[in-house]
Amino acid sequence: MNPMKGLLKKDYRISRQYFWIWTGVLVLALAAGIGLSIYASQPAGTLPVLVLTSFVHFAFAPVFMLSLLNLESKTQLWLYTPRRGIELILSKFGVIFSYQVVLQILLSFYAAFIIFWFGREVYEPISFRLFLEAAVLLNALLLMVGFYLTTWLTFLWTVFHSLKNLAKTIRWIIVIGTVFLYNIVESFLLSLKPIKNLINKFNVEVISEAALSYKDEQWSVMFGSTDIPVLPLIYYALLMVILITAASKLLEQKVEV
Amino acid sequence: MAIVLENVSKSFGKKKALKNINLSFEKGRIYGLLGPNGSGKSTMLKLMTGLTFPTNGTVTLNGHPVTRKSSEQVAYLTELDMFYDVFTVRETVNYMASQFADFNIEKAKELLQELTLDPTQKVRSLSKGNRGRLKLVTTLSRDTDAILLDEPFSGLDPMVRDSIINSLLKYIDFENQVLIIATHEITEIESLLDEAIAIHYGTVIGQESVETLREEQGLSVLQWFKQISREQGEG
Repeated sequence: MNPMKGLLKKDYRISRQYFWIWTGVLVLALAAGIGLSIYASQPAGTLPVLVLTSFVHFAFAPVFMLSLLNLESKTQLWLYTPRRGIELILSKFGVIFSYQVVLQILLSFYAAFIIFWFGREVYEPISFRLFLEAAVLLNALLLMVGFYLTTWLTFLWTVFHSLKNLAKTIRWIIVIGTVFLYNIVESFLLSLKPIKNLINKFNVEVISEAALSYKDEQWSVMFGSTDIPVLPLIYYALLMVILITAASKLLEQKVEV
Repeated sequence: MAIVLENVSKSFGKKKALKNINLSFEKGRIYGLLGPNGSGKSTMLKLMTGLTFPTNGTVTLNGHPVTRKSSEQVAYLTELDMFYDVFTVRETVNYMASQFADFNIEKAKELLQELTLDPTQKVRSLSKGNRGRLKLVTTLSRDTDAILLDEPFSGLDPMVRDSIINSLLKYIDFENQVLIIATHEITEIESLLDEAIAIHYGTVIGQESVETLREEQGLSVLQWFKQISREQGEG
């Protein structure tokens, strides 16, 4: 078995129980949404469930990564390897990515089910093509945000564990200070007019909202669209590469067990 | 093969775990790092494996600074449990085999059989003794130049200790490997050692050839260790 395959297999093995628990809770929540909507004779009741469960999935990847990193920090096995830091991290990213894709596919099927069948009388009619476009874009956005947060979390975890020689309070101050400082710099850059103009230069339109409206004793759902700027997406992708590279170096050269 | 520690110090916050250590380990010899709990033995082994880094000084393996990648050439048995509980014994062995090119799967199978470990058993359901045995399987199955054992007998009953000693004698290539055993249970390994190194709160307080100790001073390793520890205490 090649080393990367071995790492992936190990990461799937140690995480699959968490994944099944998460999936079980999600399926129960989605089923409860349908059950309650049938009980109240309000098919639009599935919308808050869909929005809420989708929203929770912004946190899926970072929460999962944190639990895997904490599990690894309990033993020395993870770092007792000739593999590079980037391989150790990418293996976990790969596993979490596959889990997140499965969960998002499940959510997309649920969305299709409630829009085109279960709640077709109360959801604003849209073409299947428009639904697919929106689903692809929103899923990509969900993945990007989730993995952007995961990248930060992984980087900060390695910073925290690299400073083993310092008191815990100081380590926390440095970690929180890093986030704070980055946000100040980012806010400052975003306040500059040339950058603002540049950001809004290229946009893509996506369905971004679904609103409930009440008429004739019946809830219905209307969709709205918004423009998403493209350049920040490229910037955040680059930032993710930088953070992962830094985390890998720290893991290799500074994190001790 | 040589592992060399030059002027090595290691601090954890304000606590100095190792102070200005100068040691050299050559292939074909068995070293005992002897000292009470908390004397810095484990830290020294971790420095040689690349799991931790010196605050000052250098640790080299065959002339190259020790990094994480050095684990390719060093088989290390930790005092702690370094297993994934959800794995079976077989999965643990396969995982180690996937990570280390020098892992000898045939040797591992042989060791599993000899130490009567069931490959299908979950790690979480293994007794402490069997976990100790499994650690030994994953360490001795590697064809490395250096083998580092950190407290291999810790908490194990005499039967398991005997089986560990027997496996060491059978599976270590005494001509081509360097074996370093860190322990505070000196009598258990005395018969194996070529050289004894005594550590007292981060400092090397003595280093002697076991043969010289026996033949010239008429002392066992334990007697020698007690003697220099006492002198250290008085000093």
